[in-house]
Amino acid sequence: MFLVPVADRFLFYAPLDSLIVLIDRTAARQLRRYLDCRQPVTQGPLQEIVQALDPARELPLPRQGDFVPSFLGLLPTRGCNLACRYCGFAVGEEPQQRMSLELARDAVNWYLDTVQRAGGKHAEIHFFGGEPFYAPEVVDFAVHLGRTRAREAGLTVRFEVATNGVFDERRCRWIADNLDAVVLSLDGPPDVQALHRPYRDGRSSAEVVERTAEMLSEGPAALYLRACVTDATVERMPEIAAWFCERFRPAGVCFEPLQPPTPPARAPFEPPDPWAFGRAFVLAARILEAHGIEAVYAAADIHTRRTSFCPVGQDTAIVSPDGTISACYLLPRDWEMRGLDLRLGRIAGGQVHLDRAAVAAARALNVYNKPHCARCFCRWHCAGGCHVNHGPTGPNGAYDRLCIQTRLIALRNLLQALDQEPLFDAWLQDPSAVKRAILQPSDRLLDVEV
Amino acid sequence: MANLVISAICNRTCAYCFTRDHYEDNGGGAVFLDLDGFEARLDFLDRSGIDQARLIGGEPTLHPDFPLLVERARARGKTVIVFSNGLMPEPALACLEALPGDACSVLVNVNAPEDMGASTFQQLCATLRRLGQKATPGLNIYRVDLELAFLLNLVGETGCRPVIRLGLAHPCLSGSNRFVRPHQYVAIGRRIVHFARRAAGAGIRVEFDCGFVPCMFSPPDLEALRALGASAAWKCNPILDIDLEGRAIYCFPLSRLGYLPLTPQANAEKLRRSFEARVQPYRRAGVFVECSTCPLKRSGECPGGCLSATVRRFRHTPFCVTISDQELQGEHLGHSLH
Amino acid sequence: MTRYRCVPSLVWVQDAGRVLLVDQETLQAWTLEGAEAAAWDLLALGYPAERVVAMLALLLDVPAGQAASFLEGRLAAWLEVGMLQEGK
Repeated sequence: MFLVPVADRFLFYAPLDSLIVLIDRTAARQLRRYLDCRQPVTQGPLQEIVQALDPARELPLPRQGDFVPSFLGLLPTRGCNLACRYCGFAVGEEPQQRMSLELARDAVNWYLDTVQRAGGKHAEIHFFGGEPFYAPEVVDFAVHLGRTRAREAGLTVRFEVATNGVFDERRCRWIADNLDAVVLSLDGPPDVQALHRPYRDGRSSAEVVERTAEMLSEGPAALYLRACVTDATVERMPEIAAWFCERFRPAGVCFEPLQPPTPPARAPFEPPDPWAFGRAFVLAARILEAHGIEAVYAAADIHTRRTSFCPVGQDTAIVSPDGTISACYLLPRDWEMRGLDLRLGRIAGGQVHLDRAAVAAARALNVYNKPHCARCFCRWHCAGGCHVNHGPTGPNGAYDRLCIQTRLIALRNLLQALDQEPLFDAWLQDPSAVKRAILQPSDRLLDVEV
Repeated sequence: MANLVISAICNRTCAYCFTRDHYEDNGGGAVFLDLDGFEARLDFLDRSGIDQARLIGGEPTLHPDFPLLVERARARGKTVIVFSNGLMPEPALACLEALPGDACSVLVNVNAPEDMGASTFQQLCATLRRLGQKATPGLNIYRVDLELAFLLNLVGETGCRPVIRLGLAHPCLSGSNRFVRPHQYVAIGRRIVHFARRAAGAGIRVEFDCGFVPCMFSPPDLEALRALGASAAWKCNPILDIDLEGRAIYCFPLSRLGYLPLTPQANAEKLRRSFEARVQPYRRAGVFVECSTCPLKRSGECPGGCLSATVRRFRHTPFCVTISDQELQGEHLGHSLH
Repeated sequence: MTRYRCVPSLVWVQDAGRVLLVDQETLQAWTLEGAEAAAWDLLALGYPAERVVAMLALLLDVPAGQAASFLEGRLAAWLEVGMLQEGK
């Protein structure tokens, strides 16, 4: 149970009981006394809070038992036709290995068999890159195989792709009609896209990606626009959101702050200031929400309870063109820089070899093993963020960029759930109050000074 | 039911107008229906056993002989239903104002004030005031962020019927009009329920036009709509619009699906059956991929949403495939792989 | 060489794992499922017959010759019912 000061009140938050309440100082003190030494509460509303707290509730648990991937990720190739100036996947000009159709077949068959054996009813196949449609045959084949095999096995199957949108109209229509969700990277209006996401020869990709977004807006596939935000564009997020609403019909927009580059200082951009990002996200989210468009910042999604933020730890199987199965779709060099080895096994010669110890190690990358997160009210939503790109160390309260923006946005989401957006806005006008709440070293109710 | 087109022109330019394809394909002809043609339409209604003369356009009240047409329809015992944008010439308004309440009903299509402009909106309000309980305001939801609350004031201030008819802006087959996409329905549904609650508090009921689907509302919201007395209905059928050339169309958005002639023998039931047969192949699908496996669609409770939106999902991609004669003679294609 | 073309009045949609087709002129309708739906879609994507056969062979888990027979059979059937026409 957590307590966060907001203006002259406190936000009491029990995420595992789905309880969000705004209380005053007196109530906060009473609640503390109740929790600390079971001193009975006398106020009516407080009694309701106490009754809503379930002492026997179960904590979310990391994955256990048999390895049943929550989804299969296929990396048809690491190659790409763009040269985004901040790209952590940038692999240079050299030709990249493409997944063979035989490997794609083996991966899909193994995954669907595993789901079926485990008594599952639903399968998910996601395509990542590089750019998946730089090796389109793999996607086309895997979709048809997945669909045919799932039908035979009595499973439903869902397909999702993360793409840069640089392909022809026939491909656009196919994606719109055949996949269930498309995460399209589009950073904003033409000048932003030109700045961030040029072709290899330096030309802007804006025109073709906008056409793709327009065509995907018309199809049944759910379109999610993914905009990477840098220090150069953070202040423009509301404008970018408004432009998205005007031009396209996405189901959602994900604003993702640029990660610090690996290796350092290669990209010409810096990650955005987290305070600026948090504030701009809230403004952008309001514009999107007025148009019925979901504003996605996954770490602050208060409707989700999780022990691991990303596919790692959720038994995801990401298959690379060389047959490696890993828990993460980032480049191995990125894991290795963090001292991680996220390989889970390999597919070779039609056989799948899983390393049980590696699976256990990936499962252990969960929020229970992140002491830094133990006292944060976002603990069950952010779960410590990306294991590769986010690794805060030090005492509680030494929040990094991800923590700050996540806490700010999550607080807004909680107040929004209470229909208290005006309070959030008023609170945001008081920099010292904002810092007090967001940088509060521990949000645990018994630790907060009231 | 059948709607009679009496005017091809309109004094508004709504971006979502469903008639776009039809008038683009049939421009250059007559602008108004002549009196003989109108009598022929009334004969058709009589033959079909329809006791309503539903007048549409363009803007039907712009017809220079509008009062005379209304008089002819009344002489045949028809209730006159007018689908208007509310910007009526004085003779037309006076004519409708003078009709007894049970002889006439006017559905006045409203846009958001900011999209209409202040003076146009005031003119529309004046029309509603004069028609009073004969007028029902209607609004086509053409953007997700459309604020509906102004409709409550409109009803309160003008004394029109305390019912608001909500429609979804559906696409013409060409997609050239402004319309909402099926994946936006859920967000629209949430707004409608919120609005219906406020409307009920003001003693105003919400009615639904065609093309709504139950899955745009959560189960509790559906319950709420029912409890609020909203007439939530899931329909998409050939209402029949009879155009100026004397042809029937399924509905304006689907005009490019084809026309059926209004022969002296044609009646509404036969035409409707012909259209149903014509669209049957498309009815296997719905506006969503999930429609074809949905129990509500299978049971007929929901038709799968707007047929025009469904037909637009069907596309043609030209392709050809070449096979060598050698392959056709038994040297299988696959052999050339190795 | 025999060249098959998709009938110009044919429209189709990918729907819950099936392909629903309608000839807009004749109003004939067809439904394709499984490997047949895959073959249609791969041809519509512009893959040459050889690549379609290669993918079908993996999809059906059969030798390439058998996959080629399957495709030839489908092409003939589609030609007969009016979904394809012979063309130049």
